[in-house]
Amino acid sequence: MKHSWTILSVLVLTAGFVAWQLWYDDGGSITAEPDAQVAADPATPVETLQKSGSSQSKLAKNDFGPTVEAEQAGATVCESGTAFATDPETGSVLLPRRCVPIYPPAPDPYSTWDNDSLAAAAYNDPGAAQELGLRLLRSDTTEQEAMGVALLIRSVAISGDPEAFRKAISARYSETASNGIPQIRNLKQQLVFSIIGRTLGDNRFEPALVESILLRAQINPSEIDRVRTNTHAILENMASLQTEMTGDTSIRRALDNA
Amino acid sequence: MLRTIALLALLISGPAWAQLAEITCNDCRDVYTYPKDFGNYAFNQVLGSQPTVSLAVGGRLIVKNNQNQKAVVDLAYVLSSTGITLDFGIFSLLLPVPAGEVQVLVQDPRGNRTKYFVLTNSPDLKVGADKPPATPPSPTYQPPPELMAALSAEIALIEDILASIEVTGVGILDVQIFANPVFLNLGIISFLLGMLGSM
Repeated sequence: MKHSWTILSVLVLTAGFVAWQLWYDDGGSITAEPDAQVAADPATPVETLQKSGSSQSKLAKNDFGPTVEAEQAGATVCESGTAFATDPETGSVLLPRRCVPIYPPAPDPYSTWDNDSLAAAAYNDPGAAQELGLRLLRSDTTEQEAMGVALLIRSVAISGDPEAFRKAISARYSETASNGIPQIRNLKQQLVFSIIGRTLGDNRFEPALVESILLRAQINPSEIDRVRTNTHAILENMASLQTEMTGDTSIRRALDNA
Repeated sequence: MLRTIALLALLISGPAWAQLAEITCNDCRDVYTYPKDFGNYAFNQVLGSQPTVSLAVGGRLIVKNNQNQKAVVDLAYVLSSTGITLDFGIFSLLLPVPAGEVQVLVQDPRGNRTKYFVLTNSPDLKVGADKPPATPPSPTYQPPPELMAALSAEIALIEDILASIEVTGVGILDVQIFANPVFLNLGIISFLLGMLGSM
């Protein structure tokens, strides 16, 4: 009996893997490359594979005419080529498809402002605070880096949207280790952002994951406690600032419910 | 019969493993100076906010820039050593699960390797140079005093967080196990095949 259960379990597992693999094979259709520069050159067919069912892009089922990726933020018009291409390494047949954005993405208006103009507006303008903060945190000095982070915190406090933290992670703090060396500063800063982001209801931030990596890097647990304590103090300041600047109490409520 | 099924599963997995996609990165700079541009671009295409390459082929990619410099980029999940344990009575099987981190390994044409880690759910990673005028202010730049006063409490807290780094031992980030999604698939099927063969 026990033996039968084992065989049955192995069969179920194998079937699961086969189904998973087939699912990927099904999704191996050629879709758009949202890359205007490549797409602008008709001599350069773009061949990429995309998982079916992805929420990122849903192409209309028309392989031989223009299609519009309407559900994608930067909508594009895609046109299939008439000739098929063959992948030289695998022999797979690929269908080239070129895509051109309907509307080029609007530039961030703050990106053209100089630093002094941003600083003048940053007191109560979250966009200006975010832009200046992102510029400052690329600095090599800890003082300017801390200023940059403080500006981002101010931006998030006024807007209530922690997206600025994701931009900061992308700009400076994304690496958790490099060539075998744990990037503790990055991880600590990510922990600050993650705790605040999660408290504000953004589930893309995972403080528990960052904390587990810090512990795996054998950081002293008391340092994690210090990060948590300081971050809680920052959240308290953010709640007060939000109420003072906008009258909104969402951070206070999130903090009370955390 | 069982052996045949497992063998078929292995064969079906094969073609997906064999595919190697080549993608063009217009913003990637010199591969020898900025190899992470290539790694970051590959990450964005596979796990970024607008992925264009499926994970089934995204484990290993060739990324080339406008100067036709190419780099091979391997993306591999870091696996948790405390995965899911399946108990079959007479034996138990440990299925490692992704731990939320990805190893990015970039190899340039001279064979130099750059290895780094990022979180799986990271935002899109930076590729290419900062676009002017979004350049850092000079090291001596100071915001106006009233803004500095408003930021002083947060600055003190952040500086305190960044000030000290106390590590109790040598980090163990180098001895993790990794798996390309497709290799993970093949590895487990091979394991099952071997197990069936021993029955």
